[in-house]
Amino acid sequence: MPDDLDLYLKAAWQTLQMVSVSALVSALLGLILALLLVSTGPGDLYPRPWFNRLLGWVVNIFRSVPFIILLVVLLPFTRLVVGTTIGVWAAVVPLSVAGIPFFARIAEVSLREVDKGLIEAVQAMGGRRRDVLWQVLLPEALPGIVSGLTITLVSMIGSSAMAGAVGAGGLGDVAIRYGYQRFDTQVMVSVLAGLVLLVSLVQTAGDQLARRLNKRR
Amino acid sequence: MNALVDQGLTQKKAQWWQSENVLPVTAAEQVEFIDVVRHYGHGGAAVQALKGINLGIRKGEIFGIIGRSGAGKSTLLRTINRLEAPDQGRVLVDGQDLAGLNERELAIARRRIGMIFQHFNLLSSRTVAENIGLPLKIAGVDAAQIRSRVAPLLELVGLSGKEDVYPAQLSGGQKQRVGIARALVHQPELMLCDEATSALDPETTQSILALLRDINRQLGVTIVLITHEMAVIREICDRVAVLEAGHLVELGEVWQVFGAPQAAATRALLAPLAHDLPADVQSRLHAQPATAQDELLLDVRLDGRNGREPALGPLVSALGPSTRLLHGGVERIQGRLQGRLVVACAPQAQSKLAQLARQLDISEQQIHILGFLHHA
Repeated sequence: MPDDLDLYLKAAWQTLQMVSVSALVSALLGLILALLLVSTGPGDLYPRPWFNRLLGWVVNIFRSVPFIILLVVLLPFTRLVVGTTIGVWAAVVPLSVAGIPFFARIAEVSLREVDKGLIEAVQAMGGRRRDVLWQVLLPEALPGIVSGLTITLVSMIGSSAMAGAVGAGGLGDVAIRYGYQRFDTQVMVSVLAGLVLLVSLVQTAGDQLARRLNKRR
Repeated sequence: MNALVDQGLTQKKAQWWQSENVLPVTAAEQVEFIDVVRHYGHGGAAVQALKGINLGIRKGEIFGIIGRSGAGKSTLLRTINRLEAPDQGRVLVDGQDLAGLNERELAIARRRIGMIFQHFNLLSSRTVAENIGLPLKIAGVDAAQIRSRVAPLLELVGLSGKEDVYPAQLSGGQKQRVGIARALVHQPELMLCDEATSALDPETTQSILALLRDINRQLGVTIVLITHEMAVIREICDRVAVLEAGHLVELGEVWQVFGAPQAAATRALLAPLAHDLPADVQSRLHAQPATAQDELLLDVRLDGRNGREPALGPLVSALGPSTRLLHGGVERIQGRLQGRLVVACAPQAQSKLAQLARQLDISEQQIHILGFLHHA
């Protein structure tokens, strides 16, 4: 039995590292992907129907592969990107690859829900397509995008439990190795309590930020 | 309503406007539609929204376009600032066809054309001042200059003190005022109103229409508005075009169109405003007299061509002392008298209709025999 507190703190730090870096990458690249998806469809701002369909397929493929399989399949790619296949950084790559299309789809919904009348209004006032993107779609969809990022973060905390498979550690890994495999109920309960606390914190913070950004009420 | 003018447009502000508005006058007509055709869909499923519209809108007028929903009025309005491109024909704005412009040039051309919407289309994530200043921000104007141009507009539309409020906290009428200020921020020569009062209650509608009229009169902005409400046209328009199934079916001065509507579509749109016969009169109305006591029922139309109020003397002297006024009313549209009187009189008066028309200074065609009123 290791020093409990030390074990938990180390694991929590690993989870935070993995999730925060992956979330940052997913938020950035996912949002770009979402903007591409909403602006290249038929009848959109920059209609490129074939490109749009191709993008949709790629997103769907990555969305349908279970994370534990993605983790393994991506090993060569992970080595290429971060130079190693074990440790926290090795987990960041598959977490991001899973997170980007996940978040992109959620952000896409928020962007598509922006009132078409606003787009028309900005065009009528002399706005160009890039103004529609930056002055209307993004700011108006922001509360929904923040909520979507919260969902992505929570789901990422869940996926990070499997990152133990590449030796990245983290709270989930502790729960599986000590709690599940060694039948240590106390560790299991403590880790789960920590995960519940973490998820609650992320969800509450996300909800509050989204509420503050939403000026529609 | 006068308070509106007080809080809104002072002489000084009108001068401020004109001093900066230095666009040269190049065409007699502000907007010109030439054989404009627009359809949706392709092949057999194609629906024609506009079927060859020819129309000129003069500088400085308030021009109304009315029609039932689906008549094509919204499409026609949107061809002016090219939110919709015509499939055939041309639309000239101040002599310029926007069709040949690239994205940047079109954006610049659109600054001369303000637009307001039925659902206001304000950005919920921006304050009132940010919404009004957005067209300037997009055009690359710096923040200090935006502030100095937004302030007088806030005053103009009566929203001083609301600059840092978000649209969600405003009433419908206030939101439309923000929309109007936003449409004016580039000091346009033309303003398009897309059902601008249809989402507002009658009282707010009146105040918004009054504001639009002030903007037209004091700033000289040409206004094109579409609506399905005849009352809106009657309230502020100079001329009106009636659209029906993509065709222009009637065009003229508002007082003329209201006084003597030619097209069936116009009459249908006017029906809610007309004074129809009360049910009890209608039920006693017959084509032929049944007894000697039955009275002749006349419908006298005042179509605004003559400026005079109808004198009651001629009615009695031509139709006889037993003449009774059963129904009707008169109102003023653009300062011209318009209305309808339903009178009952002795059947013998049928031979005096020419005399009545002469004495009322109207044409004989404006007097209709509705029938005979049967006495129960």
